[in-house]
Amino acid sequence: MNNVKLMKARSIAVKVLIYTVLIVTAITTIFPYAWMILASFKTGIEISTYPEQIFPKTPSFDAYVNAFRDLDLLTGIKNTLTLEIFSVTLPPLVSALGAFAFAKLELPCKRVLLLVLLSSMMIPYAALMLPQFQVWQSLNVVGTLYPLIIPTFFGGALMTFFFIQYMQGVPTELFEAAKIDGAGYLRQFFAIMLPMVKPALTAQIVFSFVGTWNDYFIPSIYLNVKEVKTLQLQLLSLQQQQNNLMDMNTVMAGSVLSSIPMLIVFISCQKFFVESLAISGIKG
Amino acid sequence: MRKLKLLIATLMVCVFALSSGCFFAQGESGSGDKIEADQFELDPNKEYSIEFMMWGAKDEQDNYAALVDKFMDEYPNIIVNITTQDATQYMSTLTGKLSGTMPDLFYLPEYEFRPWVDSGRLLAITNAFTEEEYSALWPTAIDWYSYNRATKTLGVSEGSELYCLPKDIGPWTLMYNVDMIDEMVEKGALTQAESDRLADTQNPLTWAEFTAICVKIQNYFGANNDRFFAVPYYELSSALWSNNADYFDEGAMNSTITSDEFIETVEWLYDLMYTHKIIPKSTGDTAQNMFLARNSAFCWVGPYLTPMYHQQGMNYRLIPVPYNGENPDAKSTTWIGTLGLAISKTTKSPAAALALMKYLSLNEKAQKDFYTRGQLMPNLKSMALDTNAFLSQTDSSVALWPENRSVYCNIVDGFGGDTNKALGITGEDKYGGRVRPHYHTFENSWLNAISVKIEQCFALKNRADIRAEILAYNATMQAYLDQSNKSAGIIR
Amino acid sequence: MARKSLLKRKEKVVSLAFVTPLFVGYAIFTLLPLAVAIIYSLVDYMPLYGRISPVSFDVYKSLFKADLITVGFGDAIVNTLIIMLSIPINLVIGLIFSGLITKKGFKGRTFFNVVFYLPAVTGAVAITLVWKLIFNETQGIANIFLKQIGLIEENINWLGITSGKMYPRLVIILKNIWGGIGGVIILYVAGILNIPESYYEAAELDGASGIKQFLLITVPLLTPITFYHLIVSIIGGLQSFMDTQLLANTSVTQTIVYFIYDNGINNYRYGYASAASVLLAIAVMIITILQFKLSDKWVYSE
Repeated sequence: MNNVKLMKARSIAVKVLIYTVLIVTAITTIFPYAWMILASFKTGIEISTYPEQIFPKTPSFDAYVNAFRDLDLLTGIKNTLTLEIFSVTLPPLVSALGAFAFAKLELPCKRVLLLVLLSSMMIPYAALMLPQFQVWQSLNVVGTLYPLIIPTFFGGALMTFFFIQYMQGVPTELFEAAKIDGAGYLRQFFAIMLPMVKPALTAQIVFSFVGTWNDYFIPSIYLNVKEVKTLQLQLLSLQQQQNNLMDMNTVMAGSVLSSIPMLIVFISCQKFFVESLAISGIKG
Repeated sequence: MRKLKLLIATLMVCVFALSSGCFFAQGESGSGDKIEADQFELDPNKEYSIEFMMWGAKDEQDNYAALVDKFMDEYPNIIVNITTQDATQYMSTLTGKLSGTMPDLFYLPEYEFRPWVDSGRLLAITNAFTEEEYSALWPTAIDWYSYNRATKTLGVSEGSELYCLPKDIGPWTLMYNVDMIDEMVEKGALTQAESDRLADTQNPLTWAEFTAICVKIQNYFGANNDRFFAVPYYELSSALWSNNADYFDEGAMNSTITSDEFIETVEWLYDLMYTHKIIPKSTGDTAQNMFLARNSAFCWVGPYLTPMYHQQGMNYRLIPVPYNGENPDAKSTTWIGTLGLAISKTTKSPAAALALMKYLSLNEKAQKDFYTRGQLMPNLKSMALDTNAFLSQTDSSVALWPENRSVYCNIVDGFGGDTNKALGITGEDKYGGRVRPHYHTFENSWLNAISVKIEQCFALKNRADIRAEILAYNATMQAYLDQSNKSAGIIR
Repeated sequence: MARKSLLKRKEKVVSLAFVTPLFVGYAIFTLLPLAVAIIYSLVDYMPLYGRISPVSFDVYKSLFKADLITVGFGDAIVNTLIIMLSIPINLVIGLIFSGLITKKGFKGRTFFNVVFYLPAVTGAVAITLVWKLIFNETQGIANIFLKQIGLIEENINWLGITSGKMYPRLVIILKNIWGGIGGVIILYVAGILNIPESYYEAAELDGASGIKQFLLITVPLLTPITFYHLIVSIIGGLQSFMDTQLLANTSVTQTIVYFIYDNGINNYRYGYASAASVLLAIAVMIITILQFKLSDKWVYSE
């Protein structure tokens, strides 16, 4: 009897400990967000002179007014969404189609081609950065969205590899049956394969979406004119224009504004995100 | 398999063929950066279209757009397309354009001038000026932007050519909060004599005088106050040059950081931090804020900050930078930042590009407009030293500027005495300025590297270790210089 | 028979057509630039001068020049490797946390999943900026907090140089843990939930404790996920760049990719930048191949 009580007490203690650890970590994780929001409501003087103040004396909206003035949010969102349209549709489709050939069709030199594809995943972007820049430069398209749009027509190696893994689990008999019914290869792909790999497809679309939204390095190389800047780049130039702490409130307000759309998408579709990520880990 | 090999081989051939075409920007031939003077003359019957590339904060962009509009009104046959970039992306985009189409006229910061002129990317403009136009400019600016490509030497010399006009000239010096000093005099914390000494723009303070005043100020606000510091940070170059020390010898061939003067300067700055505690140990990130929040008595300032301080209602006075009074060779010297306007050698319309260049740099109306707005001090020496213009005590156009703005002129004038002459003051001109140090080198990573090294020296526990630290760094500094020179084909 | 072989040929042609975009993209965006990078590095190409030197390995040699190695390429390699310390830490913490939130009867799994994953979906620029504010030397809350609780007396220059190289690296590592842990947890949680209940029931019958079960069943069964994550994050880690550019003093934390960027884009030295890129590419390839070779030894497979 005593023993059972002891066990119970112990298990409660363990539970409390676990929750404490998790909650403390969760608070740490959220802290920068909280700080970002708090800072965005402070005045410049408050941030630079009284940093020990956690809460703004009187919440000020100056920073947001400034951020709205300096950030061209509409253009930013328009540019980001233009890139999104391409990056969530083309790469997953092109990659899946290629993966279909690898996984289910009689592709010549399959092993060699797969190796070639794999090797491209091992070449870091940094190695290709300068020559790629020169190609776009000589085509005179730096400062337009094309250097980011055109590559989406060619799919991606990592994505293809992921689809191949996933498609190998789809029973081959389905396609045999379709062939006998006289279905063409494209039809087999669209009518049978794509529905079968829907979870994988969603996963890749979700990642493309987040990746494009948050990407800043490659865009910062090519989108150097203000008309084509994405949301992230606008935020970056906002920060570079205001290089002292006084204006940190404006920068923080800009950060809040640029993060909100993605956070809304994430929190409302969190199930999607979590599942997608899980799929990529287990299958990848 | 064989087919695949064939495929790869074909691809490789294509790659090599392509790369010789578009991947290598065309090299520029030796001396072909001069054109005949008549090519700089505008043909009134011809239509011109040129590209002008610049960077700047939002209001500066708007100002330039307005100015270019005025220019196009005056020259109806020239169409100017302005390309604006972020400052951080500017140079990489400009370099990228080498393999495409270069803009006709573009900003070129002074620290990029040497590699660009040496590699023959800029058009020589010497023969496009009348004697009168030449003499209107600050002579020092002509010197900065002259280069002899045959001997690879900077500055006006036998056989040198002019390549850029200054977009602006920005002396960078110290200022102090007048109200704060007045208050201290009133309360007896500073003597009237000390206050007068600060206001004396003819005789720069010595290091000792400066330190003594700062210590008094610091004590007034609390010696161990961790919010208030007399000086928020100190410019390394200004300190070095005012002790007759430098980073390298002429031509930037050999490092001179092991000289006694160099080390002494670093030690002096160390003392300001640790012994006198008048400079915070952390960096100057928030210097302007400290000054604005009255958490420092001094701060560094340049002409472009004029509208901001005016808007904030700051009552400030400029002073020449202090120099080491114990070193007989030392003279008060601070740095001057500048941005050049350059014409691409590949431009198809040199005449139109030159017209815009002159307009942006030399046009009297534009210059007057700029200084009235407090954006920059005049590029035209005559205007800057005119007691009816920039140095006027009554004209409304200088309402934004500090009263003793002649300090800026004096620095640019550089020991020449013309500012004093204009003001009717007799006596020797005791201070001046120099273009920033990375102007002299082909690559400028060394400057960040040595700044970091000096910062590390300031973090040392022992003042006595500074010397060893700097001596040990000399090899790296020299390697940086060698690497920089090697990129231009100069081997020590 | 003839019809069948015709079909086979058709299938070959069609399947080749399906993979064509992939390989055209590969040729244009990977192979061609890589070849160009190799050429640049061999001829020490300087775009400003439009000048090329005779083919040699000089550029590679000068990357390893002693005077500059402490502030140049060597330093970049060391920094990159140190910053990558966050990878194993992430894996261990992620594993423990996933174990905790998948315990039977645990409430709030979704909540923690979402919270921990938040940083991964927030724009990197915004995150870096707020970290910069928090770790500002004089005005940042980190120093103020540490001073208040008496852990430090003097302000630490977290992002700069004066307090030592250790601090900016530490901040970057912390930030990588903060930003990366959510992804690891989601992966592991999914993996743990995939492990059949019967495994644990059997172990329970043998009287194995919870911790023992975790170590003997969960961890080994999760090795494929660990393996996947290791590959992805090592390749990613070798290419880390952003924190150097945006967060800390560039000279203390410069990574390999930053070195490439700085030399190529800021200093017009395409030769140097390309040589460093080629070396990086080789390193990444070797590591990936090694990982695959070694994976037989420790990755669980059915």
